Amino acid sequence: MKRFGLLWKSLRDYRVAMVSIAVLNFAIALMDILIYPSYREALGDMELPAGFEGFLGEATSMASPEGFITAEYFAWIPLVLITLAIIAGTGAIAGEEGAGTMDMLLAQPVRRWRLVVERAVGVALLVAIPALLGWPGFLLGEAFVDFDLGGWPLMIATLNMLPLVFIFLGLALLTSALMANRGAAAGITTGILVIFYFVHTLASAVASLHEVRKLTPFYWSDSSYVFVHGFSWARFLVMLAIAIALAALAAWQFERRDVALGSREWRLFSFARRRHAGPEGHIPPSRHPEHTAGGD
Amino acid sequence: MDSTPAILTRGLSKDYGKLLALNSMDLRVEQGEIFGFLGPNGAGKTTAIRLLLDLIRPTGGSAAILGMDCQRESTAVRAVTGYLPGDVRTYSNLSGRQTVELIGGMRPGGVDWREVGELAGDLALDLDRRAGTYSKGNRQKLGIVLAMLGNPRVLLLDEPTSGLDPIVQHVFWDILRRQAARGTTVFFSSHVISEVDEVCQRVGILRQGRLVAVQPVAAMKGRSVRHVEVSFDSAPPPASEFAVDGIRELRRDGATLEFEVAGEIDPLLKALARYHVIDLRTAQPTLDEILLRYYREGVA
Repeated sequence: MKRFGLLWKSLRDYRVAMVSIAVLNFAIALMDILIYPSYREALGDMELPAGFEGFLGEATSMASPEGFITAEYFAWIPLVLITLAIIAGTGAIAGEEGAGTMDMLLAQPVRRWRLVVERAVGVALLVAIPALLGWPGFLLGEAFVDFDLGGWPLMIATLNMLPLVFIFLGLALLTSALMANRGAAAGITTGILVIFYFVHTLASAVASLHEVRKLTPFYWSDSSYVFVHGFSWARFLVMLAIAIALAALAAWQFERRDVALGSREWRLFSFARRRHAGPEGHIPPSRHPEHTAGGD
Repeated sequence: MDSTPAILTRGLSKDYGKLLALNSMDLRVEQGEIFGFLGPNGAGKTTAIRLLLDLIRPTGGSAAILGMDCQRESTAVRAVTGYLPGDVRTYSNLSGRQTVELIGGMRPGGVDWREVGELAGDLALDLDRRAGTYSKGNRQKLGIVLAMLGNPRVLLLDEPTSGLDPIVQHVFWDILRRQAARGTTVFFSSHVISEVDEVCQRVGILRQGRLVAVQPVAAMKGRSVRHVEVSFDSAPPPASEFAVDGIRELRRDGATLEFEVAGEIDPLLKALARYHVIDLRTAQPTLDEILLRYYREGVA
């Protein structure tokens, strides 16, 4: 654990969750492929409600392999991965501050941005590993049943989920860099996730709102697009760039503020308070280090 | 060892808006010195140390360690600095050894396991236990080991003995003396006077964010109020004989007088020289009394 210790620590801290989600992904992917033939017949003549078609994305039919796997796997697995990214991402900055361990880390000769980057890469691996382990499940399933999509599109679709998850990881890092409170950061990031998901689902179901989908990252990471139109480097790279920009903003914000010592009350607009207290941020007397540290 | 001060602050301030945690602190600590930083809870000791480590940013003034600016060159500063907080927080899922490995991996030169083993042995710390099972005292011991990693040239210790039993405290003080003998500067914050008295050469007294005094421990004791009891062979001289600044007569009891003397005792001795004194007893003030005087009177 010597080199990139914090990166490995991220994996170690959440290894149970990582392994559990990896097993879940593999099992769900395998199961979806295996049950597809029986569903194909049942779904063949079925007319789905308009709202449900939103889950199919660019696919035209639930009975098609791309429609089925989009609705049964790619529509909700990212949410599981995003949840893990939010939990681990808010823990990387605000969680360390709340636990009082950030002082121990930053008393060492490391730049704050490096700490954020190392943690971000660790959490990115933490979510990428279980995400990618769905693919062997697809391959194994295709060995037993005729699925008609092939391994490569499924691999690309699997990779296509990651920028979406990374965007919410970037948001989690940014909110915790802004607020120094893990609960508040996780709450706000989850709120943004819910709003985007709701808007995307609603806009997908209502024809007149279709264009609104483009305001959400879910639209741009739609895996069914990959199956129907092929992989879009532009979409993938723009999403990835947004995620990196959010993480960079988090590192920038964390570089310029005071490190909180111990848990800190929710300060949504703590950055606004700096206007009065200078560039170092403000910690109210009740949460002043002298009071929370128990030391001085 | 060059003449660059180990720690130099000029007008160092931290204003939280509603609270002025540190008010324009000017301080110079020489290399190889063990410097005590005294003050009650909330005086600003932790704030000062966290400013030196660039964990928080000053609202005024500047600070340098070994000539390096604590903000602009913070990474270089932290490469030569070891830090021990008063309440050491560790990762409960890592053992002491894994914690040392993690933190040591972030320092230049990594971990010298022989030194770590010796230090852990001196402190009777089991590095193979999970830190989550450590008592506060053991967490503090682990913090000591972490602070010493890489042989830092400056040690910033924030109430380092809190949670340590008296035996380990003495071991720790010996460790500090050995470090100072090797040229390490020790900046030692505390509100326990006796330990500062035990190990420090100079002390700074912090009161409500202001550094009100910096003196050698002995000089601080010397300039403080002490009680002197003098016994004469006959009736004591009249009070007018001792009407000197800094001397106050407290009690007359037969042939015995009791005085309160502020600062040096020399004026009293000169006044007594004309009389036949049988006995003279003086009580050395404790640092607690000194500190209380500073707090009550705001003496600078």
